[in-house]
Amino acid sequence: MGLKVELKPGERFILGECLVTNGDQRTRLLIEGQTPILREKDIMTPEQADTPAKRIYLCVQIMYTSRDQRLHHETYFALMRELVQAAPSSWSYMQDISNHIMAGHMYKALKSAKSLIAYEKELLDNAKRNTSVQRGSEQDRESA
Amino acid sequence: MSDIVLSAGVRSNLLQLQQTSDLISQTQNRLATGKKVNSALDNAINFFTAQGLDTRANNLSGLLDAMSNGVSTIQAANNGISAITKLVQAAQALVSQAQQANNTVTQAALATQFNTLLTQIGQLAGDAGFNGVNLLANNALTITLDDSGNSSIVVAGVSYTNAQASPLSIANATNNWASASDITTASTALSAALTNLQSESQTLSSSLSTVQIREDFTKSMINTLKSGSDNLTLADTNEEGANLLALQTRQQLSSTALSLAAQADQNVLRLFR
Repeated sequence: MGLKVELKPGERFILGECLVTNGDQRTRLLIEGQTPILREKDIMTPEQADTPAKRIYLCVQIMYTSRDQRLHHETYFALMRELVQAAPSSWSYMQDISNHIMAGHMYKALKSAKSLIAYEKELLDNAKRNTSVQRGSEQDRESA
Repeated sequence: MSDIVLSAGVRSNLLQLQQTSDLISQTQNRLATGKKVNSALDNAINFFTAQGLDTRANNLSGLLDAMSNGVSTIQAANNGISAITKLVQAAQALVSQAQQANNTVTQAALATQFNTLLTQIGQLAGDAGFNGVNLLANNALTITLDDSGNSSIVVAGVSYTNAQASPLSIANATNNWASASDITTASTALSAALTNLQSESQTLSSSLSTVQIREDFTKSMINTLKSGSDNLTLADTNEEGANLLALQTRQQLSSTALSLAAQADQNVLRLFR
């Protein structure tokens, strides 16, 4: 069972260790085999990865597209520790991602990392909206 | 009537006193255990998250044991294959000696040695097991990789316990190796057997490295889970958001983020600019 990829003119995607760029017309491809495939819309560049969760996504993406993913595990766990210490509630997401990596399902791991980014956005937006209310309640807790 | 009537002021003082003593015992408990959250009443979500993490770490430890056993089983089989390869090479030496010898007595003696070697191959294969699983005796090895049990690796076994039978298929010396064609038959069979041993060894090595990668990952996962359940702070979404904002800034110059960028540069992603 292959993967169907439909490409717009000029659209790019990663196939194994190559970057494939579509010509000037729409193309439909059927790809079979075990090689990593990443569409343009799923690709995160180091410049775009500017939040903790996006860095984790980038790291999983690098693991997915490298020959030896073990080289990147150390970075992955360092990023994961930092994120979880800052936001313990992100555990369930990290657990999903790690489980998929452990089982060798890298594409699923990437998808879980995408939901982690969405969750992080929620938290960040929340924090930007009301930091002052939070500070008060935290002080109460500490003084007790 | 025998009840003591408390005024509103006294009642509120008493209540406050009770709350204070609760807080004191809570603080003492935290100091004693080093954990911020100790019971479900403290902070339900965090308590169950922390408990879940501990349980998961234990589940993973179980998996890790199974993986280590799996690694040992594959290594035992691989060692067995190396030893069998040496025996087959020794048999090849006997064959070339027999080809050079021009007398039937010597050839008959070599043929007997050859048959003995074949028996030894079978015995060696029979001893290549670990923990009750012998990949060279056609046992398959199943290693579970995640704690949901959805993902596993199955390493198929081969049957080397009988050198005369497939896949080694080295027949006993016929006719006491009296004629050249008898010796050639043995020589051809040995070459085929060596090729088979080599390809089996490659298959095992690749399974081994897959399992080892997962093993390392699981180890790190367990460590992180353990530290995660200890570090669990009060999961307040606002506090977490503020922490994340701080981390976002801090990470920009952290060594982890820098090495991540370097790794991306060595990856196919560098083409994607």
